[in-house]
Amino acid sequence: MIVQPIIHVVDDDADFRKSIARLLRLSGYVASQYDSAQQFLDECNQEVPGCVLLDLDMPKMTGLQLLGRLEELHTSLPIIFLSGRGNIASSVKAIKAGAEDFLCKPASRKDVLEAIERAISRNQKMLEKKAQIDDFRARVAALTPREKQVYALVVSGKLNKQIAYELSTTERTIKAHRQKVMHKLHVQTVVDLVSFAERFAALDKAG
Amino acid sequence: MRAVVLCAAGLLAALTFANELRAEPRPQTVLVLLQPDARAPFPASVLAGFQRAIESKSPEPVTIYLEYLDRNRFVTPGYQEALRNYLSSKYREIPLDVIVGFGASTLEFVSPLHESPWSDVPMVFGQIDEATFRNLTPRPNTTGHLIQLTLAQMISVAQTVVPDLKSIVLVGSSWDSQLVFRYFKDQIPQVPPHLAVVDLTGLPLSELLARLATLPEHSAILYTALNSDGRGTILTSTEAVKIIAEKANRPIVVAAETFVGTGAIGGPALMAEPIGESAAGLVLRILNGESAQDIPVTKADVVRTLFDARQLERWGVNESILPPGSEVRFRPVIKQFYREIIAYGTLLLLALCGLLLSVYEYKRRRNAENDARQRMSELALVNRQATAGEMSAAIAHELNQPLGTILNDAEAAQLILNSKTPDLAELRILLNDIRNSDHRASEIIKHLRALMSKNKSDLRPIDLNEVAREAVEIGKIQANASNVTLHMALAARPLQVRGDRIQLQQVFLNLVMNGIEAVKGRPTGRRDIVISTAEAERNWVEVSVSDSGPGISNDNMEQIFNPFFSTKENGMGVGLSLCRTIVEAHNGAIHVENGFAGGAVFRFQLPRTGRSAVS
Repeated sequence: MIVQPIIHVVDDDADFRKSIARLLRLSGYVASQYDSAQQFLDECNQEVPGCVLLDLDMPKMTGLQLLGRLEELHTSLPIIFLSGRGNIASSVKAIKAGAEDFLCKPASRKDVLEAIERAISRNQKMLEKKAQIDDFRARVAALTPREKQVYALVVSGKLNKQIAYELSTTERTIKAHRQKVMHKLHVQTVVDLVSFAERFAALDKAG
Repeated sequence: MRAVVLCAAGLLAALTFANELRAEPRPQTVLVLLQPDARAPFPASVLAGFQRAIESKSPEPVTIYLEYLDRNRFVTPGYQEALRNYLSSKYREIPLDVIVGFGASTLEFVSPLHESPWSDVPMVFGQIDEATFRNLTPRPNTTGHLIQLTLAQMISVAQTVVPDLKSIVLVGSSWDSQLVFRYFKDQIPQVPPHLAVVDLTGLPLSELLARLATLPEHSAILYTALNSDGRGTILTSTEAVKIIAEKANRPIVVAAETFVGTGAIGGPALMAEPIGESAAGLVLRILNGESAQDIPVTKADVVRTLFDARQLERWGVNESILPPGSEVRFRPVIKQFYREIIAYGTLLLLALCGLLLSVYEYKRRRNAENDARQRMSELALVNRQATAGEMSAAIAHELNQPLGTILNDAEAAQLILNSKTPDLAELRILLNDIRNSDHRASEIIKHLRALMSKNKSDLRPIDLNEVAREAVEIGKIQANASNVTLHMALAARPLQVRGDRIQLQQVFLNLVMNGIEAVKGRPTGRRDIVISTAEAERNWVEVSVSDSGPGISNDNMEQIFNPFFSTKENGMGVGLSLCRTIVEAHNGAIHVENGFAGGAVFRFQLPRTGRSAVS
């Protein structure tokens, strides 16, 4: 990933927002600022990797509400809460709702940067995983219906002969299909094919 | 009117009787002409004054006929002419000795009647002002008294009742339709220039009332006479004063005796009865043989400065500033004697009620007192804890914003300083921002201080011992739960201070709670807190709360009353700072020391108030 990650700062307190954005900039990050949850939803480019530094108490839409909206939108941006009213109840709530981290104002640069680094690396991993899933899906999608049948039977451990019998065709035809499947899925051996199927299943399940 | 006719009939009868005894063949007769209907209060009083004077001073019985011209109500063209014809035929057979006319219109009415049989009858007039009289052409055998009343006199009274008078509001029928005060119109240009003149004469009543309800301060209403509501309803000018006074937001100055008492504050008032009396004097002289031509027209003293005591009170005018010679009418009628009877009666009644109530109260209270107090104490505790908790959270949130900003900026500044080529311009911006955030934080604290000091208004004389007992009752709940014993050593006499009971209770309670926390670590049986109160020097009272805890380290001693300073693991650092705020708001002082036995001793002093004051 060569794209520079973006730190999205969402806080209704202009002074604080400005100061944390400046600190992030001086620490080598790209930061963009939003004065409300709504502005963030409207303007944020969620395709670019990064994370969100989110104030918990904001008028109109609170940080927790924004978190809920982002869940609905299936975004992968991790959220770090920054709250002036840090208490156990609200931090538990935030973490349960899927927040990456929970910091109390005033938070030291070290704590903030560590949280950001963790979030970004997690985000990057997620993005990589997502890219891989997309890639796997695209490969599988290229198979014909017949090839998909053959693929399913091969990875379930059946011999060509058995597959030919099951699909009421000749072993030779199955071999040809299998060649095509392996070519389309970019694998060299049957072992690779089975391994691909397992990883795909695992990712698909997790994703 | 009927009374007058009856009276006249009675006089006639008496006259007939007298004629039989005396040689004089002819009774003396007088025709009185009034401008308006004699039912109106002012002309009725003029007539009554006239009649009484004639009756009391005339050696001979005099027959008085009465007619009124009603010129302000009936304006049909030709009416005056018809009335003249009617009256001349009515009185053709009656030999009149004198004609009396009150008001300028009566003089106008009579003067052209040269052809009537009355042309030789001498005439006496009254209730005409000098300026108007100069423009009339009276018959040669006419005499009378002139009234002296000017707009300036009304203004002078207005200036007395409204000290900083800036404008006068003229109210009445349109000037041309007014009978008595029409000439005021010509005096308006002479009003001093520093007074604004608002002339509302001739306005329909509804509109007038609306205007009068919203007059500016430093203005006064100068009422002349209003006889119609502008929509066909005829009023007497006295009724009109009453209607106006109900709506007007400024005092009303009037110029006739009968207008005082219905809502007007007062004014240079034309006195109705003296007008009648002075005319009667001239009539008697003519009846006595003098010629009207020989009696010069003179000025009569018929104006008196009158005030209505109730209105003076309403507008906050002190009687001492009224011009000398003023007459104040309508003083409260209940005499001191009755007042005292009423006062004592009321007192007795109240005392009886009080006695009954207190017997009832005593019984009721004894039943309810114990559990009510218990419940109240618990509630108060929960309430106070919640308040303190909420407050600290709120303060924390508010302060964390600027604190977070300051930390960010400070660390940013550090990054810049650590770089090889520090950007000084940016550093300057950062320092400036830090200063701003710091200022913001101090504003928040200032605001909270102001908020807390708002409560100090409920200061009453209270007994500090009582406050201590109440607070200890509440504190006991917590003390018992922690196996702490509370000891009280209160002064024998009540300690009167001026203070807010709840706030001072909170001071005691916070100190006791603090003590409980401090002794918790001690073995059971050695967890003691002593609350003592005592009289101190120079009218101070002193309270101390000491505990058997570990005491306070020298480092903490100085900061212990600072907000948000706490040695407890979960302490909010609010309690003691609140104590200091409250004690200082009561003009007292609080400090802490370590006792001989080692525990902490919190002491505060409050100024003492008089011993007689009992809450």
